[in-house]
Amino acid sequence: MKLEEIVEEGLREGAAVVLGERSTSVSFRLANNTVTTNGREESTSVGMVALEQGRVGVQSGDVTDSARVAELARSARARAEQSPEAPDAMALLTPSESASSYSQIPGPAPEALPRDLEPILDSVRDVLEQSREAGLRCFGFASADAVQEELGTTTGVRLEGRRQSASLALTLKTQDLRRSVWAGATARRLADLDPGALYRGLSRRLSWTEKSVALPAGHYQVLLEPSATSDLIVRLMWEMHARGADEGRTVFSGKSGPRVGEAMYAPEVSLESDPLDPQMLVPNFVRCLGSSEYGSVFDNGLPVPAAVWVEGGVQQELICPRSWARDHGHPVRPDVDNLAMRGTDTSLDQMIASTDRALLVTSLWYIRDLDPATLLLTGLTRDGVFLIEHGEVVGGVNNFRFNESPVGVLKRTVEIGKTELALSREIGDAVFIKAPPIRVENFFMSSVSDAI
Amino acid sequence: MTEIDPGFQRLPLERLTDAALDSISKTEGVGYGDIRIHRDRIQGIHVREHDLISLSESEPQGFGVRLVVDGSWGFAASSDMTVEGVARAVAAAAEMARLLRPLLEERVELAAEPAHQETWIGEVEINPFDVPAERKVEFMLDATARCLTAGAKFAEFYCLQAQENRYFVSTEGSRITQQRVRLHPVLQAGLVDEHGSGLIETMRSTARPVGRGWEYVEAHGFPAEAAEMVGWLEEKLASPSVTPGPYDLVIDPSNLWLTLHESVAHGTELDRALGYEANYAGTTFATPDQIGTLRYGSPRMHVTGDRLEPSGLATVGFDDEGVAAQRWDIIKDGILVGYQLNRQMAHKFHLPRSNGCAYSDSWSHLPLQRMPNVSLQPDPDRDTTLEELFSGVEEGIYILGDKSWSIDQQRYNFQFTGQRFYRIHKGQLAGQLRDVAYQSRTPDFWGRLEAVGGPSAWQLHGAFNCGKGEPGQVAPVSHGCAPALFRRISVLNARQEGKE
Repeated sequence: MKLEEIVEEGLREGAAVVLGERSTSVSFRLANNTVTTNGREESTSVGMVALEQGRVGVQSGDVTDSARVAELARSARARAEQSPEAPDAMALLTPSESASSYSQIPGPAPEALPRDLEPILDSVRDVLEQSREAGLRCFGFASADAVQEELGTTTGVRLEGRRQSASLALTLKTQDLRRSVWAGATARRLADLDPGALYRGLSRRLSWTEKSVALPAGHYQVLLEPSATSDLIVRLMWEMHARGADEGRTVFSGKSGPRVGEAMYAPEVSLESDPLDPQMLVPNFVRCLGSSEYGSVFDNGLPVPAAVWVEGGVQQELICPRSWARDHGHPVRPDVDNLAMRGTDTSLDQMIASTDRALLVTSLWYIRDLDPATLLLTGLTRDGVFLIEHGEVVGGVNNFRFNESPVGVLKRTVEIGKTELALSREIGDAVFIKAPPIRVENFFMSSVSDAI
Repeated sequence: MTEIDPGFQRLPLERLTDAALDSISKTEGVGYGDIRIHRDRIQGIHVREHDLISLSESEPQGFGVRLVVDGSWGFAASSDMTVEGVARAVAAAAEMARLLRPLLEERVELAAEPAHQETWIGEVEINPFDVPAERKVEFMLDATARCLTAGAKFAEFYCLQAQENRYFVSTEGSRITQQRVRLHPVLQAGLVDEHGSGLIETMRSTARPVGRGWEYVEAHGFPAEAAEMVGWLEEKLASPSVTPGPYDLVIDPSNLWLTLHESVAHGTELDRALGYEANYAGTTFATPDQIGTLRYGSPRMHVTGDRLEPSGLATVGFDDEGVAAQRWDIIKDGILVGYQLNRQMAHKFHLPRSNGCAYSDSWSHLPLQRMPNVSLQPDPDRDTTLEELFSGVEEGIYILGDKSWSIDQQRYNFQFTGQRFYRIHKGQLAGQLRDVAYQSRTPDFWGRLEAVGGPSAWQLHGAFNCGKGEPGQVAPVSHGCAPALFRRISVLNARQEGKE
């Protein structure tokens, strides 16, 4: 079935909001200089919201034919009938209130196919060969995904959104597994990624670890590379919702209300999102199949404008669905599926060259909340900690467990480098993120990790 | 007796699997092939204070085809449940295998497994999908209301329920139908922390995720526990902040399961040990060359793997490669003696048979070596009680409930917090403490295991959401353990760690 047919069928069968989705992906993994697993997946699915006098029922599922769409719509309606009235009930948006439909990628809906792997396969084979010849071990993952969505409502809204993403990550280890480095990259298509360049960067970094330096836990000046920065700023963004701030549940809760307008970070820090950023294109309208502090099912189709979350170190906005905004006097602010930290023209190499003594940290791992009041997180450094002295990398350093808050990190940020598309180590390419390398004072490494 | 869900049985299971076997037989170079058809039902209910926030259900359904073509894996999956869709998926899987063949250094070979033609159902008393949503929402809203009546400022209740149906058919002759049900009820109450941050601090109920039905939710005792939780929280907020340092810890099963999960269960996955997860989930210090010699912990440590434990979240009749469920030793007398395996790993490890740890979280994903139920066995010689464990502690902390957790990629350095922490003074509980986190290194921690509680104190806990693999997959898993005593473990003050 075509997506528009699924949407119309769902609406005919009594759903108030129908979101059809077609997605495809291809991927493969590498370990010990060889390919291990792979996969190609295609799915057509639908999510439906039924409304019965302010009561909500949501049903989603994969679909093959119209009978299945009708069955899922019936389930959504039955669930709505069994539910009490929703606290976020509002009138659905009309076409004039919703985002304008546009096609972000011209032509037919993109598909991720096995042949999408072809442009990089030769290059990956060369990388594995080089790794073998150098007596090293290469590990990694490559994937390409394409998603097309169609949204329809009984109030006449019809919108289409598309998203395409690809990522490649490589880990390079010595044969004895005593030294290890990682690098990742993301783009719209796999063909835009360069495995050879990634490998060359890793080889250089692995050579930095030939001399190892054991350092104790403590406070250090650190240069966080873009991937490490991305993992901290995305966690900050996950807390940026007005409801949690109003209710006194997050770091954005102030004594007299949300901390919007407060200088929470260093003056150089700015965070923003734009669904139309050409490198990070995501649908520019709300698609929501479950109400929460991040969105409401009644807001489906709402335009998602660009956001400036933080400007000049001052918190500017928090995510706020329409009903919460109405009831609590906040501006409406939909969530956005991408995030960027504004950067400068300074390269990472220039930042290293101007460093007296600091740790260079490539990526962070296993990050979990410790204290929501301060957004204190715990996590570990992984596959790349280096000591910089007098403008040069002088050796590889052991890993650490850190206990830090992104708010504190961005307050103690004293230099920001050039922003680039960054691959988060923990969440991969699930969210597009642009992040710069940042220099942070007094970063707290709580203990040493023996992991390599 | 429970029957296979008619909604699953109505799917064209035989037509699609016959079509798959037919297409596979016509594909050149195939050494092995299987198809798994899934239909899952996943329902999430979230209530807060007096409101239903969301009630949603999803029914993912589709199939995955896995082939070994000329020694190379090829996997393709589709939600197009038609004969044509199956044929396209078989062709796509073969194309994946051939495209990636030039990158392959070592041919895929699988340990042998007899062909099985069976149906397996995880028995539950009340399938949660048979309970009207109205009744469930009403029950949950009653619990949050009781929290508020007891003085909570904030109360929420999540309940995630899942039913998995699978039909597995292989070129080796297996035809296996399975069904299992699980649910996880989470009630949480919050109060303003007047003694600390001024923000809301929360306390979670003691309910666990289980491979059981709605009967578990109604029997847990939420109505009484709602008020109890608020009392625990009031006491916690007024309690002294812990002084950092080494402490003797008595760790309750409600907390210890997660430490076991992270430091032992993940550490003994053979695919990690062989580097298959090095780019993502990580590796392990417990490498295969150390089997039979690596001292993982004290001689009190006996850890088993199984896919048989009643109500276990990883309990099945057969894994996603058609391997029958088993039970085996992983750590015996503190020494590493076994791993978790799938058929490919078993062959690489020169073992005649897999122990059945292949699992895929979706029709769209390739089965990986995933965790079975991994449990710390109770003291076999004595039914040691919790109070007897306390009696051996001069100055220590009793830790209940899981909260924050984190461990490094080689499963050495970890840090855990909990829901409640009680001071143990001269063998007796002496009120709550707050801001406790314990940090250790896996072999050091388990080496300091002095005593394990007896069979009467053994409990099964677990999680729905164990993550691993690229693309990422989540798996449900249970861990049984009794309370246990660990000597001289480093305790941090979590609040002081965050001081600027």
